[in-house]
Amino acid sequence: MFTLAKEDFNPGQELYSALPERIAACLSGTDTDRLMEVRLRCGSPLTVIRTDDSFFLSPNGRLTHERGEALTVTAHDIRRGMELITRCSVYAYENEIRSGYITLAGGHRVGICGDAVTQQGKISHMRSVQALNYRFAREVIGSADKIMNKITDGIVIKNTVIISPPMYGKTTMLRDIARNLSLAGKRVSIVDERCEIAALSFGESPFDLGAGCDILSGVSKADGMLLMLRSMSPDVIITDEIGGDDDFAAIREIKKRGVSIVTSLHGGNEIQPDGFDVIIRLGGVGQCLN
Amino acid sequence: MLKLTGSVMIVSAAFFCGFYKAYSLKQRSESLSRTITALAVLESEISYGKRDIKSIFKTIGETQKLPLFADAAEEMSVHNSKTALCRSIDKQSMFLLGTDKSILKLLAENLGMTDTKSQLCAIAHVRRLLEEAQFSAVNEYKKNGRFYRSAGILCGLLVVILLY
Repeated sequence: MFTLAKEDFNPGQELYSALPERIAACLSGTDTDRLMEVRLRCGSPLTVIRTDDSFFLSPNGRLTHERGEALTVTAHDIRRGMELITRCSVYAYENEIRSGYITLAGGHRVGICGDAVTQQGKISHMRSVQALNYRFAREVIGSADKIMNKITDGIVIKNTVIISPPMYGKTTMLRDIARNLSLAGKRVSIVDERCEIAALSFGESPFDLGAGCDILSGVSKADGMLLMLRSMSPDVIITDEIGGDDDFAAIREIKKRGVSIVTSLHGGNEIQPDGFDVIIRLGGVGQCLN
Repeated sequence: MLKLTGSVMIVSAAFFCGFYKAYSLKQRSESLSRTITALAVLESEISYGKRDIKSIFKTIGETQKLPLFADAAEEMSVHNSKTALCRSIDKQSMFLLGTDKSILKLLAENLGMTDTKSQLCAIAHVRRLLEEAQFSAVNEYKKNGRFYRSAGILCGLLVVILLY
């Protein structure tokens, strides 16, 4: 059993360019080394979440715990944020907005919520946006070094599920696992539904994934895994945040074909009973790293 | 000799004014026509291409030879879509009238910031208004184009005769 640490990282500039100018200007005056999230809620103080604590941001760029000193987010900030995130093209991101997030270049993700309009029980669009959550993606080379010997002995790749709560670095670790396996000469297929692991932009990933990674993004995990299985003859398929029955069915199918799977799952700190439940649902052979 | 030179200059200037007026009418009609075509491209790009507004504007600017859109694409590096397009409309003359520009500014109002369906409705509305404007521009050119050219020369000649 392993514990994923919240490691230090440097946030990407891509995300700064998607922040409203006045907020980016305030943030530029503060120490952003350990920044994980920037939360904009209309009419509320701007919240900055770092690896060590959660703060409010004051107009002069100082981190504070005092709500009264904080910069208040306005409707204009939210609108400007949406303009920058979508490059003034909301219509081009309808599917992403329905899913509640938009992935930016560099793999950073912006969560969106507000007044949703539903049609036939499904979200059709967002009438007005109330909050934006900017989440910084990070590349930590070496973050998976401690567990690589548990995942592969150099020949066989064990089926592996990484379970942890949100923001503990599952995706970062999966990215490093993909890089390590790729560098070890394995044929790695990454199914990146939310464009987070590889964050393809114009066919190129900003992350170091070695030379042996084939990446399929923007498609559902279940369909993508089966597509990669058929088309790319991988040694291992890597995907993020499984959860649906379709995902488990696809993984069972992949295992039948002798291809390994390394994936992640949202979960609590306790491996049991969730971990064993996952192993059973995946077909009984594998390991959970919590 | 001086009188002759002066007369030629007066006639030439009057001819130029008349010709320019007729040319403006023709250019307005052509600009509206090209803008209508551009809006059709914009509609299909939003509907099927799902590219962002800036790239669409850039493409339209290049393919349709419309500096209005090319300039708006450049403005979008600094401003949002509404401000960028409005600034570009104000900057580019294209021989359009104030009413034509007001119609185009309707397009800028929510450009890019709503879902596909709303975008297409807004563009279709602007296109309809521009088609009406273009129809009247064509009629005006047919009606007055030749008149302005002839009137220019005749006015010049009249001034010369009066001066003599």
